[in-house]
Amino acid sequence: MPVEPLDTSQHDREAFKCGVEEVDRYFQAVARQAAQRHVAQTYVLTPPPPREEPCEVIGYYTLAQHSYRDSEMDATTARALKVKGLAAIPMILLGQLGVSKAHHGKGVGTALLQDALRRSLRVALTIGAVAVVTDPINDDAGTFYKKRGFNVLIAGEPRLIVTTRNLARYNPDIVNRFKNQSQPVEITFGSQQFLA
Amino acid sequence: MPSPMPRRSRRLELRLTHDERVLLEEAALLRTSGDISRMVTSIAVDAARAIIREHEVTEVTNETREQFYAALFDTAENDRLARLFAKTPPEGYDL
Repeated sequence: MPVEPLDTSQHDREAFKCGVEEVDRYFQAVARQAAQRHVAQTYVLTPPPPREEPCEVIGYYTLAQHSYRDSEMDATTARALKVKGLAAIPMILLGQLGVSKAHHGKGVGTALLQDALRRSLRVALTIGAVAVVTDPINDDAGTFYKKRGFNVLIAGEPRLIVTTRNLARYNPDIVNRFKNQSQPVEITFGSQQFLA
Repeated sequence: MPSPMPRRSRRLELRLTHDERVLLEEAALLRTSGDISRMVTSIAVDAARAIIREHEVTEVTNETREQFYAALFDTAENDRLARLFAKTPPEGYDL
């Protein structure tokens, strides 16, 4: 499995250093607990097998559920968004993304972002989410995401967005597989599993 | 000119095992020149921010509503996103 859920019995958290202290700290101190409590799931990229134990972590990203609330949303907007409640708008939060310093400059961050967004699309098709949002940790991170298709959600605010509509547009293989499946398929999102 | 450091006047007491205390002392030597309080505060505050962000529900306000829905209902093609998904994985990685 190329990118897999964090397993602290196998993955070396302490050695991971991406150059941004907050991203390292999240990985070392928060990621495991967040996954155990089902509030966020961390996925890691490890070297190809055979691998050592504990195994080097080349990079990681974290996904979590997120929602927007609009107490004044009207029925037309709710129908257009295909959301059940009038007020809640489900999204996916790309909470963290980091690449070990030893692997910088090789395109790993871009590949991890691609993986995170394709995984998000599968989750969105399964349980419903209208977009992926992220809060870049600094200007460099903001530039990274914008160059790869994220847009500013609200002018003057750091949050960036990419819509599920556009993820589906550029990943027809995932959409077609989802539409054409004759039997329910089990989708794994971290330690949670859904039938779709 | 850098903004002044906020004055830290609130106390938070922790009960630790001997081993936990030794572990914190070792880590503090490596990261904050032995200042355990500064290290624990820094790590805890970062972690708290991340946890809150993950639980957050964001309100759409009168000021943000127009831009918010414009972004959600934007049907324009996104060339940068198309290029992202057209990229092949880097060589030597199991992606």
